[in-house]
Amino acid sequence: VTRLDALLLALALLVVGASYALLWQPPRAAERLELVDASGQAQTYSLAEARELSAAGRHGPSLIEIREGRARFAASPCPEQSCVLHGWVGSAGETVACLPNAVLLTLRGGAGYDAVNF
Amino acid sequence: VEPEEAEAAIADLRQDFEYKTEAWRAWGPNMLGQVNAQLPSGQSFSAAPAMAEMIAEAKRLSLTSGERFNPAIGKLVSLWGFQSDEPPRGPPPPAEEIEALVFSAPSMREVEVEGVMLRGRNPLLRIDLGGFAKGYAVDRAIERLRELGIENAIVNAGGDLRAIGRHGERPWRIGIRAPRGEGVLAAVELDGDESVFTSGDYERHFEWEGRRYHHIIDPHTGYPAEGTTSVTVLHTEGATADAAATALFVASREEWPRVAAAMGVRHVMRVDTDGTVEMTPQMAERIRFVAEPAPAATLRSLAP
Repeated sequence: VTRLDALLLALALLVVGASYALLWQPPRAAERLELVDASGQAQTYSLAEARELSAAGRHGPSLIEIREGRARFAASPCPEQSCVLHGWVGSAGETVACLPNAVLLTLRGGAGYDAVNF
Repeated sequence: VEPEEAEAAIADLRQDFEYKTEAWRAWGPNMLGQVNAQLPSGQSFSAAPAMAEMIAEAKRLSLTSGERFNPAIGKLVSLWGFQSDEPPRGPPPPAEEIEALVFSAPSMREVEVEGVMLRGRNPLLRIDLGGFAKGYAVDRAIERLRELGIENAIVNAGGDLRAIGRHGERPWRIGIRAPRGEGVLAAVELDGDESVFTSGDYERHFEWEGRRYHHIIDPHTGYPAEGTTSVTVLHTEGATADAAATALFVASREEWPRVAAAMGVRHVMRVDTDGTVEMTPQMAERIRFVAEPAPAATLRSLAP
């Protein structure tokens, strides 16, 4: 290891540290669910109300469940079931896809509140 | 401020809140209990200065609300079982007992306040500061924070709050929870000094034979106020916002804009039991619905 190597290593570590500090944001609770089905149509739903949705997929309907501000694939006609196994998501920006069935759910919004009045 | 300063202020306020919760609640042997024990005698007596000041302010707000906010009906609230740490389980009290108390019509007009001297003029009058004490406590807490040199803060008393200053470079962001179901109905930004108070039928309640009985008692009927699900008020002072949220919950759909105007409150949102959302134009300018689909809201101007 030459002196230059050590310097480069130190710089690289610094960049990693700095990008964490600059880019890392705590997760924010999402407000809306954007659901894209196999035809490419996107629909938006509130996460505020518990409900079950059905999205038309390539091999049949995928069932999406919304409860307590979170969403999940409850069932999907795919061999691996990785979308179902992914479980619940609740933060803005999170995405779960069922690639075989061509159904995509993305969580959006969530201005992030300092307090909630009730 | 520095974290240590903030922590010290928070500890200070927490202690004070615990003390006030104990001293001001309408049950148990406390400061308010001493007042309530002496009111029926009809004799003049002295109260702790802080207590007398608070009762005078509650009286003023009660009268401006046309007594829809009426702290003099402590006996009714107690009869319904809402003066307890545990929510009541029912059944509702006998109709004759409710009628007798409504007939006695206790009013804050019958509480004379002269400095620290109080006198009651109705033997069935007991004071219950629910619908006011929380707002009043939040106001005192904000005063205390300012004395400590804190300019940016939220004092949140179980969902009702007052915020001063800002969150760093942006205003404070407050969500208003949907009265039925989960999640946030609307969002509002607070910048400067403002309180947000909501009175809802979902707070303290019990169910009996399929009917829901909540804690906001209409002084004119003696029963839980009907027709309203929740009222949200934005106002500088927490005490006014708290009392107004209670008064406007009790007020009917026809009369609420007039009551709001009389209380000097301009930002009001009211959700009816049938789901109708009404609000003042001033409120509509401030809040943004985030629930989807956004409810249809009717604008109601403040009546003169």
